[in-house]
Amino acid sequence: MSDVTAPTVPETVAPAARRFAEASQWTLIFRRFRRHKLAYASLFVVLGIYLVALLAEFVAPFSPDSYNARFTYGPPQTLKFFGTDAAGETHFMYVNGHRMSFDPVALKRTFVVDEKSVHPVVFFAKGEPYKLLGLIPWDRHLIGPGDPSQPMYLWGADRLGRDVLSRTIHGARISMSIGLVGVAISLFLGLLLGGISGYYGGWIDEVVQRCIDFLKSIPTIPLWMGLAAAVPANLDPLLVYLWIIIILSLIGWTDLARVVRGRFLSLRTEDFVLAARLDGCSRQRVIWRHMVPSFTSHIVASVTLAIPSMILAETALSFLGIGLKEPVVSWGVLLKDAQSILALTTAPWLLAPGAAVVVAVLALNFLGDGIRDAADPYA
Amino acid sequence: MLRYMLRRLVYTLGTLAAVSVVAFLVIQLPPGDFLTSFSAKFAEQGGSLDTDSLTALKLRYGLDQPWYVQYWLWISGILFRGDFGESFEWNKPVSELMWDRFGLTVLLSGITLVVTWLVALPIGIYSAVRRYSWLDYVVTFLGFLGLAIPSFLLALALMYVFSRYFGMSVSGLFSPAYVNAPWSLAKIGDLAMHLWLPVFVLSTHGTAALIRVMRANLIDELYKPYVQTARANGLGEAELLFKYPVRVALNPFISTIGWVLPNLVSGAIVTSVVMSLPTAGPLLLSALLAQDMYLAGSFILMLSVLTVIGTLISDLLLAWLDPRVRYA
Amino acid sequence: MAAFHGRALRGAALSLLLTFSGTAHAAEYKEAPGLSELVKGGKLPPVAQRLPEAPLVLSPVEKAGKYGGTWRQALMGGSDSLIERSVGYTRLVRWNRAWTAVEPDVAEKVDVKPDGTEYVFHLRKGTRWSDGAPFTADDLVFWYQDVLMNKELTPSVPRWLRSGNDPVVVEKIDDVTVKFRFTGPNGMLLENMATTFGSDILAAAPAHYLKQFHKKYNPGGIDKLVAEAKAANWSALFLNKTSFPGRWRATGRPVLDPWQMTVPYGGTTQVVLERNPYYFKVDPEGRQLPYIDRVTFDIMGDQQAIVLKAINGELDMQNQRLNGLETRIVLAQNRERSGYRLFKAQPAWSNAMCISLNQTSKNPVLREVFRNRDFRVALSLAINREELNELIYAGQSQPYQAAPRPGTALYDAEMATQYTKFDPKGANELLDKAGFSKRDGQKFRLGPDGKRISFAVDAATSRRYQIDALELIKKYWAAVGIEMQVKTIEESFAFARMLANEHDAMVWIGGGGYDFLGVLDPKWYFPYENQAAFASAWGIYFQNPNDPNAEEPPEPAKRQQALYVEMQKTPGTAGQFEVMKKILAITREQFYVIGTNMDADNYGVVKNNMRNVPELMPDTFFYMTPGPTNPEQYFYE
Repeated sequence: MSDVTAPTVPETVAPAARRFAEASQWTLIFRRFRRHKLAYASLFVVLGIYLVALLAEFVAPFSPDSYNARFTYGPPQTLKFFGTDAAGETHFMYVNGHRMSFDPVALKRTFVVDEKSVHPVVFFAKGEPYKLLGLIPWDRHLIGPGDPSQPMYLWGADRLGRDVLSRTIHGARISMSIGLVGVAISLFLGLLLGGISGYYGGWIDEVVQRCIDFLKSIPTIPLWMGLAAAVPANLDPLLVYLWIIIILSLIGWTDLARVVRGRFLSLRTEDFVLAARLDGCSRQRVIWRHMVPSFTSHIVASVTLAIPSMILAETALSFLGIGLKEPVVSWGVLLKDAQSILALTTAPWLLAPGAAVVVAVLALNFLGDGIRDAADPYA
Repeated sequence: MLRYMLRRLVYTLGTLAAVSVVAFLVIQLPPGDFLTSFSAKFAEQGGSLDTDSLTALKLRYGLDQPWYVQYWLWISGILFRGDFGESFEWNKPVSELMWDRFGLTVLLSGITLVVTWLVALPIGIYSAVRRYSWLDYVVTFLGFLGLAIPSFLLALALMYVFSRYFGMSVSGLFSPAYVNAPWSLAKIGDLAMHLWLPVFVLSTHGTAALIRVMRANLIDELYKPYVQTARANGLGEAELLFKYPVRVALNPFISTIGWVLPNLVSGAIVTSVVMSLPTAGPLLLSALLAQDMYLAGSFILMLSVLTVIGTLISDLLLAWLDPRVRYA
Repeated sequence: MAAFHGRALRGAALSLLLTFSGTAHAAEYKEAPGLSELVKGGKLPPVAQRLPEAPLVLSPVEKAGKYGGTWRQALMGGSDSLIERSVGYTRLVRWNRAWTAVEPDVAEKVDVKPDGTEYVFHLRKGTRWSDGAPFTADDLVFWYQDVLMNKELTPSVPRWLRSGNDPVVVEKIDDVTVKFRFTGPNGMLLENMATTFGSDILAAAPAHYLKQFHKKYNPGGIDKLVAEAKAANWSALFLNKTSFPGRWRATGRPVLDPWQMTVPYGGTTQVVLERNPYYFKVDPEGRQLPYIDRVTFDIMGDQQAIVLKAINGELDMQNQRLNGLETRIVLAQNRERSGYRLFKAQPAWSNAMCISLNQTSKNPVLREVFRNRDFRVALSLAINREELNELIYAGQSQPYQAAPRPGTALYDAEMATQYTKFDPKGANELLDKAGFSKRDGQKFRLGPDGKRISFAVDAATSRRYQIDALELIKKYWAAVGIEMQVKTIEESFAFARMLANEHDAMVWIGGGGYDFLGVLDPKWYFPYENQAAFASAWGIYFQNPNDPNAEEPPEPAKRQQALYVEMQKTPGTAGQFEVMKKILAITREQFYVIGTNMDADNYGVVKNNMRNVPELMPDTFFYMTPGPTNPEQYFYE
């Protein structure tokens, strides 16, 4: 399974088989990956989400906390094409304005679409100034109202008249990166400790195993709650965010470490490992070149499951009131807002961040699925 | 094997001792104690507890003592008298509170577990054998969908739909008419009517995870040389599948079987809170929030004991199934 | 009470009396059909023997009702005070419905000595506990001698039962007369008794039942009972029977309440209460109350589940846990479908969000800045309360300070509205003048240490509207050069920080409001206790000057503390309010707390066919909502 790529291929082999035999492992993986159509499509979805998260200020029409008292719980406006406004000017994209009335008992604004009012929507709209990637000052937004004073709520508005679309986009940054960073930490710890434990065995194994047993035997939620509550009071929001990630990955790495160790234990006695060792390969080479590739598929499967489960864990922490909190905008924080009868009955658009979570988690899962299947190209 | 077991047993006891300390410390980590959260509950309703009552309560609950004294009181009670102490919030012995909820928790977790395995394993096997078939796509998609929807949202949405459009009283595990009634066929029927919704919400998540791991493990096995050999020897496809690869693919599950119950209790907290289920999860959560330390500490300890024992069992099973592990 | 036996006022004593419209005679008493069955079966004495000689005749809110029905409510979690408020509001004296006075309840009449040192309670002859045992002066003496004076059960006598450091002395005069005597004046005994404290007396009074749990009366058997209950010791066992919430955890405790518990508040089951056949009140037509047969409480884990129950019509009358504008929208929408109407539950406090800048903060620079009155005034002026009202309170509120509500005796228009007008220019001028004119590169003002003034305001995670409002205020303050961060913390953890004086600033609901709330819970008006978040250490000083966290407050606060002690010695509402006004004058001048907007009215649900529920009631733990509105006279048409 390891160094199967033979240095030379006899000329008699057919061209197709030849291409297969001569291709590098990664080329083979990619080729195979493309066969899994859903996974291949998911790759672009995931890349897209991460790109949006990276350029959130540009992609979102508004900043996450810009509010408008007149549009509390405003419903989504439909994006329409080719409309003529009162001045007789035709616009490529537009939204209709609303007529509002207020019910003083139910305290609710009712919105009726006003077909006559046409508010143009343009690409690269001028809006609130921001710093792209934290560096480049700019004031253009991918899409936005032609007239900055006019509201545009493509996904509706929340209780303060803030744009749900913009908040979801900004939330992507926190939520998607939590998964990525958290998994990176877990992966590092899991591979390192699991590998050491499984390869060396003996007392090292014993120590690592006891640590894992110990961590695993404390129920997650109490541990999270204790640690989250212990976040020092006047901490910078960024540090709180890191703290939460570390709390989340504190549990994650143990699973991975166990898997890695188990594989190491059974692989140590496999013939090809013995062969490599007898060939005089160094320990490093035996581990990284021979043993690790042979269970990459399993690790990839675990990792791709871990990213979305971190995203979900963040939403659960927020629901319990111990994760990230407003004013930080993450999908978990937004979903906590949506966790109400009101959202279900009269403002279902508040559930939009939930749709974002579902799409992201689905895409990541399919992607992982595809990678997993492809990681074993000789099968 | 005996030496292996003995060695594991010693380690297990050490882990438990460490867990009991940490379980207690985790509750002490947040600021304040039970009394501050108790008075916060009053302040939340615009009320206020007077300082005298608070001092009296502090003395009554021994909260004026340093944490190690409180810890010793608690752990020595458990070790020497089997007494888990009293819950401050419920004014009841902790053991009574835990037993109250134990039955329904195990029932709910057990059913969820069975449902999860019954649904997930066949689907996992099918989608490994027939990978990239349209049915594989459909079931994996549905499975992942279950994984992707946050359970608290799903729970509330389903509760709303079923109470609004089907007139069901969906919170809890019983209708108001049966909640205090003695056990009878009608009450069991009522329980069944209420049970499927939480079971559905709880198992959506687990099922998806299980499908995916089963599928992955089985695919790993299916392309191993021994399968080819068996096939070449003319073994029937079904027999071949279930005789070796499926069994081997189940191995990783055995190594996690120890965490199943604790994970279900812990993982079900969010769902149980939303659906107001009379199970262990909400009690644990409220004990943690209220810093009701003997209750919360005992709960964490019990779950940890279950996990540790489970891990022990699964390790022993694994050692029995796979001799290579034993001689490591 | 109607049968007020023409007892003359004793000497110059003030008497607490109520006049009632109806009269009833023993022969005409009527009872619920279920009870008549029991009487016929010989299982219960006839109604006339169960009622006191002079039952309390209660005038209904709307009209006399009829018997029957179940009142369904929902509790959240394990120690919800709703059970205590809705079915447990019975005490010697109680609040009247409008929360403007104290009126008799179990006691028929109270004679108060004008100097506030003696209170004589006249009980109703023939009153019985829910198990049929007579309720007499001996029960109160048992509470006094064996509970209050027992060091194991009561390590320190509560402040409201003391005068200075001396505890009350309770003496039996005859079977139905009891005297509470103090060494010095205790002016607020009756008001305190009408709050939650009153339950603590009656719950610890049924001597015939409680003696078995008392070491003194059951020295031989107590150890067995303690072991059976797995209690730590006998006092823990006893207190679990008498204190909140332990007293709701088991059945068997005799009560004087309208209903008695048949399934306890244990957590996994529905709580059930059935009518108390010995309840001491009748309606003007002589029918024994309560009208409603049963009361049930479902125990829920989540507020939204309670809202769901409400909009499905599964709650018959409740406002607890249904507050907030979001909830109001869905409650209003489902009225017709589920057959309920709404009643107003007016928050008794005045302010939706009080900002307390901690003048005893552990940060010496902030402490100096916060103690600057101009600084606080400037920050108040910088807040655009009209916008907050529009945006967060749906226009239902109005700019308001931490002050008494309009229409109350203590109301002071100036205090209520001072510095509420949005005036960023004035704020800037004031800050410049107050010595914060220097600014850094980002236009933020510098403190006395030459560094930017920057502080975090603690807010409870569950109070979403406050977090929203704070986010806006952060912008308003940034506009005048003050940097603030919003720090959201889980509710009880935020509270713990405040009690430990670890906060720089925090927000909470509160700020005076109804007269009695301000009188009994004056923490928004002056440093009264550690919960006075604007100066916890000064508050601790008032409660206990020797506490290691205590700090001696400056002169005006000390003067207020002295006045409050004076008020506690003043009997009679009028005299108390006079002193309170002096305290409030200093509060107005000191401007400790920055108020924002008046808290908008909340709503509760009540089934369309349930009558005698007032359209409006104050909502607070101090009033024990809805207890004083007499749930015993609610009925189903």
